[in-house]
Amino acid sequence: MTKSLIEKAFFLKKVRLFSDLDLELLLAIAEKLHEDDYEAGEKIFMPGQVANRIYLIEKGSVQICDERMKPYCELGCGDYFGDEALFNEQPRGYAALCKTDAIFLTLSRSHLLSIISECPSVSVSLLQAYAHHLPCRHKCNVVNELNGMR
Amino acid sequence: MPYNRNHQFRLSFAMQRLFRKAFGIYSGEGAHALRFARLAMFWAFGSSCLDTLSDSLFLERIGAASLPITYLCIASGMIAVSSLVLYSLRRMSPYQILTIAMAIGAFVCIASSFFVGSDPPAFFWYGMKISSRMFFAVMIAISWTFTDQYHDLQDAKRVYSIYSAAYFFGTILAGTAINLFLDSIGFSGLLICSAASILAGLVEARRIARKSKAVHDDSAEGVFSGSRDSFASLVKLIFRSRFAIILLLLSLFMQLLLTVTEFNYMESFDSAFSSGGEKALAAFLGKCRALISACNMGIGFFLYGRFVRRTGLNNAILVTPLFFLAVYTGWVFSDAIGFAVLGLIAVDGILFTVEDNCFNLLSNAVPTKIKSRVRIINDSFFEATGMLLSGLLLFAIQSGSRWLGFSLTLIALSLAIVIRAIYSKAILINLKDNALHFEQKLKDWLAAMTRREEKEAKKDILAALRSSSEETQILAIDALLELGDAAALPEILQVGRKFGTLAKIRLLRLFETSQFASASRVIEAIDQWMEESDSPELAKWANFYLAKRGLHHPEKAEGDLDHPDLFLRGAAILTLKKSKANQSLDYAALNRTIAAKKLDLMLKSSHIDEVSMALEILTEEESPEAAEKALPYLSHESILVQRSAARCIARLADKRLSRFAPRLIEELEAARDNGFRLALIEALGKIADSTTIKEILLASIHFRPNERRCTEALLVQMGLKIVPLLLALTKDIALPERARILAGKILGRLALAQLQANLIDILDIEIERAYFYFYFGHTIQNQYPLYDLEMLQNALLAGYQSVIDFIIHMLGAAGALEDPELLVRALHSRNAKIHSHAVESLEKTCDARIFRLIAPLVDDLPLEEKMAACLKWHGDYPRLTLSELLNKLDESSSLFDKVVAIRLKAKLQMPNWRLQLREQMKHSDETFHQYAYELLET
Repeated sequence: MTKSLIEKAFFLKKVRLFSDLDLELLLAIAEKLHEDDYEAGEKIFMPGQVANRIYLIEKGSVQICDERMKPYCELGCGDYFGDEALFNEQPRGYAALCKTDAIFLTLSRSHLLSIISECPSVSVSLLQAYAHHLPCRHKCNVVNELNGMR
Repeated sequence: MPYNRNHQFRLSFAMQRLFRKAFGIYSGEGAHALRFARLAMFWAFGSSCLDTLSDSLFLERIGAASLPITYLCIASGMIAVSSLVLYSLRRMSPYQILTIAMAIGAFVCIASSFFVGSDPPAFFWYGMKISSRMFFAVMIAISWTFTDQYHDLQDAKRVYSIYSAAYFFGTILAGTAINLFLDSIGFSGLLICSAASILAGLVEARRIARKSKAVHDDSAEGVFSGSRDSFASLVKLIFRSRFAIILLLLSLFMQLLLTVTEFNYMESFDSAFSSGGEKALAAFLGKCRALISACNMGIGFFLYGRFVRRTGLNNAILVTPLFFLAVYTGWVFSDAIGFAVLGLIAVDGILFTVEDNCFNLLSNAVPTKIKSRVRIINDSFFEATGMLLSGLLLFAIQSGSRWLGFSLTLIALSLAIVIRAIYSKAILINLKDNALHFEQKLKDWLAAMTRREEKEAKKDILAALRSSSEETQILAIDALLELGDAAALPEILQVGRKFGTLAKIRLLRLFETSQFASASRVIEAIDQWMEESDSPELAKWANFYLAKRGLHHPEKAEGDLDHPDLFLRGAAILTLKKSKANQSLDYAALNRTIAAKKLDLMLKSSHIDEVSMALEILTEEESPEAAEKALPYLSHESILVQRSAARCIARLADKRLSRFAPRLIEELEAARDNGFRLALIEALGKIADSTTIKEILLASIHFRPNERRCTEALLVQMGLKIVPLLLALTKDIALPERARILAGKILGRLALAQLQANLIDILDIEIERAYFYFYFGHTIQNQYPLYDLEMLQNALLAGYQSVIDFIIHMLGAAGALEDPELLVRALHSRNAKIHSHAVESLEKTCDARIFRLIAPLVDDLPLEEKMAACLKWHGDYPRLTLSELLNKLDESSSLFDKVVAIRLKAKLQMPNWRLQLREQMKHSDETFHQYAYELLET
């Protein structure tokens, strides 16, 4: 059974990305959420696939794998994924597989961008998440340069 | 030799242009269009060959009398196949389904070619006819869904008719091949040719999938990856869209009409060719279809696109039912073979050239989420259902099938008229679906729901109130308090009682802004919390809350006036000021004096939190003098104090504070904080001084979306008296575009007729400016390759963007759109499908003359086409020199143009630029002066 607008709004409050937003904003975002359910083992997307949406995990767990399908990390209820490719407008750089039966609420790129322009706290949350995973922004460049020198 | 080569090059260029113009395609688009045209042609040849051969063989071997039963079988089979296709769309992409369908089609052709030469049993002819028709229906549906992935609506309006024409070219080739080669290679040979053609189409589809770039529609689910929606949710979505229902109904009646008309003309042909042998009818049908397809091709290539552009899609939709009406009006009275031929033209010609194309274009007004599946439903499901129903009707009627056709025509015409009326609105609804409605409150969302949904929503909120998470419970309480449902209050208080200290404090703050702030139940509950809890933090907040409502006794609070705890001190001051306790007048006056002195001391404190607390206490005084006291704190160094001051002024402001409006606007301009700005906007709204409109609009140019919405609301409240001023401000080219846009939007809301009457005057200048900026932005550097004109180029293109923005906003406001911002956002969208919907919406809502003028600017055209439009607009552009261009910018009333011109003159050290600038300064405003001084000094 699909979730109602109110249920979606209350779920959003539990997602770190939107936890600072008030009810009015959550309802506006909830209206644009699309619900998708997947079975365990199903592929959500694969590397190289066109990226259009961000996925919020409402139920179940998701295995994130790199391009060689090597498991990278596992995400659970309240986590989100698939956002990176929306900003760099590149195809998916990793794979997402359902570890268990899962329900996702998804948002399109254009809606996410509209939300960011209206609610700066969402972009701050995203930046915090990226910064958390990236201790040194120049790390890749430095490694590449060193490799080049060698 | 070089002359010859040059001449040849020019000739080939001219030919290419002529070709593009004839077919309505843009430069660089040819290869892309050709791929789709080839795909359509290949599968059309195969499918048409198979269809015509199976038709004629069926009529000869079985006879027309058995057609209704075939229709029933085809219908039942197609319902199964369409369900399969719809289900497959959940798992597969249209490309995968297309290739599977084509492979099956090729197999059917090859298998048939083995048996037609022998004497197969009767069921073979039934099977061949049924499978050929099913293949055709599935191909029509899925090939358009596949094509749609690579085109937006505006592309579709230009090139879909070409693809249809290519399809007809395929059917002509099939008809010609049947006429020329049936005698020599027979049925089997032609069927093998059909299989080969379908396989060539498969190769073409693969090439498209690999080479062509898809137009992503990220608002739609599953167009690329397969939708995961259930069939039930699809039906639910269809029933929510009135346009989708009527479009599907029209389509269903068209299918009924198609089958009934086909039956009628087949019956006539059967009796006319009863003595001619099996090949005579096949040859006649082949010839007729080839001729009709030739006409279809001509219409598709050259007429349909232009016809739709001239008359509009909503008028083109009437062509088919009107043609059927004309045919049936004669046919019901006369049995002449000419009417049967006209019936064939209606089915094989008009339905395919006009109706199918119209459906493809109209389907863009169907909600995006169901668009691809509506097409499948139409092309596979409805054709089947139409056949089934018409088969049943024909069985039931036995005679009088032409009267049935006439009645169906009348119904189809009525539905087409309804579609014509609601098309524009449907396009707009589609566009609105993409917008996020941040301005809506919970009550608005509930108001838009059905009664049942509303009940469910309230249940969901109550369920969240019983959740185990305090965060969720607080959100639920927020929702319930916003709804103002007194029945929910006992449960809220019961839940609140179990909260921890921090959650209770948050709850107090929620109560404070709700309509239950002073409700006795709430006060009792707070007293109870204080008794039950030993948390000093909660006690402070609760005390403060009660003191604000005058519920403490002054005698008890006196001792706290010098308490080191700020909250207790604040509560004491509030108690002395507002206590409702029974006290003598002198005692109350004395208390108020003491409280005022203490408050003054607090306001003068060097501690931020003390000043903030003092301002909060000041907010509780209901006099404009208190707001005056808060005024100096708007420019305090701490943003916390600034916010408190702004909140205080917003709460207390009224018309008596109008003399401070300029000061508030000054602070508004200087501020960057959202909360601070919103409070000041609210204050200005309460002051409602119409003489400050221009300043407010000027301050609004750097506002965030919610601040702009608030400003718009406050100015709208000022009413009709500000209309003349708004009109003048909208026309004032010297003002920044953003300020003019806001003025225009408010004008549109207050006096739409006045804005519409002045729109041409306002936009003519802007369109001229847009073309001017665009042309020189793209050509000036090439004209003067030795100068570095990057700055001028950038400035001109930025100017172009800003003018286009202004034009779109004005059109949105004048088109009485509920949300012009949405149209602007859609027109700026990088998503081609959203952009093309916005252009379509603009076309449907704005004046036709204005749309023709701005279409080349807002539509997603190649640069070459836009430049051609610039030259068409204004022939003397190429003759302007750089200095003439700068002089022209100098003379402009736009500050932006002037600044760019003088900056460039200075940079290029043009003769006498200083002198010219000083001269210009004599009759310029302060902003220009400031910039000019800086430039002269450097």
